[in-house]
Amino acid sequence: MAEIRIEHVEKRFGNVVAVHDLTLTIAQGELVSLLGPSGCGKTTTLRMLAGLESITAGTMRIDGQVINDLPPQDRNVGIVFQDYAIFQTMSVERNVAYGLEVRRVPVDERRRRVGEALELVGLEALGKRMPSQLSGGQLQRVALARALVIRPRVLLLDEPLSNLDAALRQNLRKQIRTIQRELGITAIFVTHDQEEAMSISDRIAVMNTAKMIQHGTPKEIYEGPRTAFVAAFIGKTNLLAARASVTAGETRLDAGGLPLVARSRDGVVSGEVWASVRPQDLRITAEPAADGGNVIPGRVSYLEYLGSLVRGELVSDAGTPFLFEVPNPQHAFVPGVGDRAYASVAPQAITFGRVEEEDRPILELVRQQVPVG
Amino acid sequence: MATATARAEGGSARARRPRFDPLKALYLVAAIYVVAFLVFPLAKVLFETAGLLFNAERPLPETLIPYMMRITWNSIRLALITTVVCVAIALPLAIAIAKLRPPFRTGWTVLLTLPFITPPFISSFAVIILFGRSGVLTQLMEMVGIPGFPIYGLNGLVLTQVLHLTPYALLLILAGLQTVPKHTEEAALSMGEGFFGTMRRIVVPYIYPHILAGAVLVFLSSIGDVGAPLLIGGNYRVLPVEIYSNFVSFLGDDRIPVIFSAWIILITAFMLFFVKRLLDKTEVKHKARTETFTYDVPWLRRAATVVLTLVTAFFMLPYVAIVISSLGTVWASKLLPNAFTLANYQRALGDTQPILNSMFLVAVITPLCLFLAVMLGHMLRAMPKLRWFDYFTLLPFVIPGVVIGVGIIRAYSGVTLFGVDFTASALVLVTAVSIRRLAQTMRVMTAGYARIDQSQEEASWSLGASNARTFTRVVLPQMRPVLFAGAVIAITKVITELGATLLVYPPGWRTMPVYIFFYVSEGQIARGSAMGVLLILLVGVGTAVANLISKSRRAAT
Repeated sequence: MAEIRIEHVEKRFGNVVAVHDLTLTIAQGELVSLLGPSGCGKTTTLRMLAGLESITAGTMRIDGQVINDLPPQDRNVGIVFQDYAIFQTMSVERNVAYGLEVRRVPVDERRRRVGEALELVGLEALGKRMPSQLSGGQLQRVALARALVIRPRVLLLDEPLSNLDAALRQNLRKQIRTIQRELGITAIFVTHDQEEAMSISDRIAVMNTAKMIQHGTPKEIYEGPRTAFVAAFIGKTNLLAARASVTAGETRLDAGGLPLVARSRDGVVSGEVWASVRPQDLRITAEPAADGGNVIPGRVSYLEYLGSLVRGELVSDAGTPFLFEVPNPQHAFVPGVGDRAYASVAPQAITFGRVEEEDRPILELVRQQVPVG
Repeated sequence: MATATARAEGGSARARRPRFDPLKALYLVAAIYVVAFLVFPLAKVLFETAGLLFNAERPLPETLIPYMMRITWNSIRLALITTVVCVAIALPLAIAIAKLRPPFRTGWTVLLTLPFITPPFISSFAVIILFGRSGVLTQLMEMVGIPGFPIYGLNGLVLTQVLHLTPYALLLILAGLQTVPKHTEEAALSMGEGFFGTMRRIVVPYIYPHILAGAVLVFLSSIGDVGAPLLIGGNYRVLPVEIYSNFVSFLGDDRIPVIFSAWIILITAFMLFFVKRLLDKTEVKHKARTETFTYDVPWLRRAATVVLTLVTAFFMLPYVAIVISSLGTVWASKLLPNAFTLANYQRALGDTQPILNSMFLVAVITPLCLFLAVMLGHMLRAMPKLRWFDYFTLLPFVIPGVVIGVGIIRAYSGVTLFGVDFTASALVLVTAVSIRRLAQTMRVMTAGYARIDQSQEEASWSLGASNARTFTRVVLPQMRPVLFAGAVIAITKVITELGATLLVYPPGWRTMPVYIFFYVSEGQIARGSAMGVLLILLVGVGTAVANLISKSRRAAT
């Protein structure tokens, strides 16, 4: 049970910066996800914590102890790998017992703890099996038991669910979360799947191009993205490039000829901004709604019926496509493809921020009308 | 705390700790062995050559360099012709086997790979028996009015090398054919391409690296071959023969072996980079093979069956010939020997010394090669900064055995080790042959290591296990089948080694191949044949036993 402190950590491979100036504290018993696209430095960060990758600069501490120069053998952290990394020539029991044998735990205690660990992951009946006789989900649970049985200070999970199919993934994700809570173990979960990160984490650290962009609870990140990248990466959104001007307590946005009113944010911004409108915040009506919000007139270009909701695209008269969602389509107005319709959005549902250098690539995609997020 | 931070900012290597790591000590032992018995001897040859070239007191004859160039051209011409012929036979044969699935293909393939377990010159004296002036096939051909052709020289050399080296190209191309994804061929067929079109435009381009690797392997083996050119080369002189004959003869110029060796080192070292890239490309890294697409065209399959049968029969001729020859008395100008006898075997078995010598070398060198390959392979895996060392272990792949022999003799003659004269004892034989065969064993090991995911070791470390424990408990057990494959390769390659042995063997250390070689070159073909058959049986039985053991082990786990 431990607290992890990552302070100004840098990792370079030759001239390539894999992790840049990362500072993050993970409290005891917390589960934090490192979330980002491939190559963002999330796995490298995890591997530095495990001692499998050297640290170029900065310090990493577990419970105040600097671990930078500690070899992986002496860190007492448990790792679960994407490809399971189960020892092929050993049975399930032998795999789980391996870390205890290394620690010279007496045979009786070893047997008891292996049994407990297998019970914890629900594999008590499969102890004698060889890895080749197990499914992917079972292998990953063996890996979890093997990592936990040594009572590690920290549990590191490197995309543990990526090789499993969808149903199993949700199931195991719940199991990992339950076990982690039960044991009160500090855990870091690396993933590129935003839904997975949202569902399992106490907090999420969003990374992109070697940097941590934002961290906070899933709710904070979803509702208050700090950059265009975070807005587009966490959940679906309509991202707009706009110019902002502040008048009388509200911010007026001009998104390529489309005027929008948004509620001003702290640290008032004006000039070049990005703006994000979530699909479910757009209300679709046949006539312009008269509740004083923003109204976007346009034509419906595309619809998909998904049962619990209908997802579609409305192209504004200025030519900007907007993704929208109509929940409970049985009881709501649903336009047809080619119909004229109006999308309205409340000022407080629009998030926006000043355009930083790192937002430019994604906004360039928006300008070219490439769908993002 | 402050010092730890300061050190961290300076950058720290992975898993460095002051504790003693026995694995690193073993890496060092293996690396020192390679440097001492491969790198140093070759460097010594190069330095000595530099000294000889600029020695004013004893100037080299003016004709030496033009002579060397002429011999070099002979070597290259032979190697090029052999390579072209081998690939021209192996490619269609491999396609016929893999794509048309003729009946008994496994049996034919096994027979065709017989040359793997025989010394390279077996085919050359079989060629003498069959196609020589009084050979049985020459007789047959003359009976139907086809004039015989002179076999001593380029013709015979190409024939004998093709008989021996085609299977090497065949196996590499077959391995390549197994990597062609089924769907690309299906796609080509669905677009209206026929069998031959699909082969020419889809399959052959796909396996280009394998074909090239096969060609390079044949080329290098041909360049380095000393046995066949000595037996059947006649006046067609090649580089290894010049090195060997000037080395053993009192009349020869003692500078020639050194200078010619240096010259071969220079030529072949150029190919090293190319060879490494090809080998890395053709190494099977993934466990699961893609499914092979096969063609169900009855007339093509029938044609393939006929061709395969004829080709296999032709490639089996040398072995049939030596078996008959080993059982006969005099066999000349007739279809069969004058009389049949077991006397040749009695005499061969009576010469226990070469048999015991060969078995001793196998018993000592196989574990040695395995140790070196296991440690060096693991070193290359664990320490990426030392990857360049792989070029050293590949050197014996491109450098002929006679050159390695010359190097070791030049480097260690007169040196005594543990009170034993190095070049007058079995030590010289053990080092020369082990170094010569290290490259083949290494390739098997590195391919085996490549199949073990790095995360296996990382998981073990994070559970607290040391490097040594991780190696013995996690890595080595997974290498078991690979160790068996490596042992089989090492056994067959050690027992059939001739080039280096011929140069370095000290008195009393004739091996079975050397024994055969001398009897055949003295015209005692029947006696050599009997020993040849014994050698093949020995390797065949050894390989079969090893396979059985590894199969039963696999079944047991």
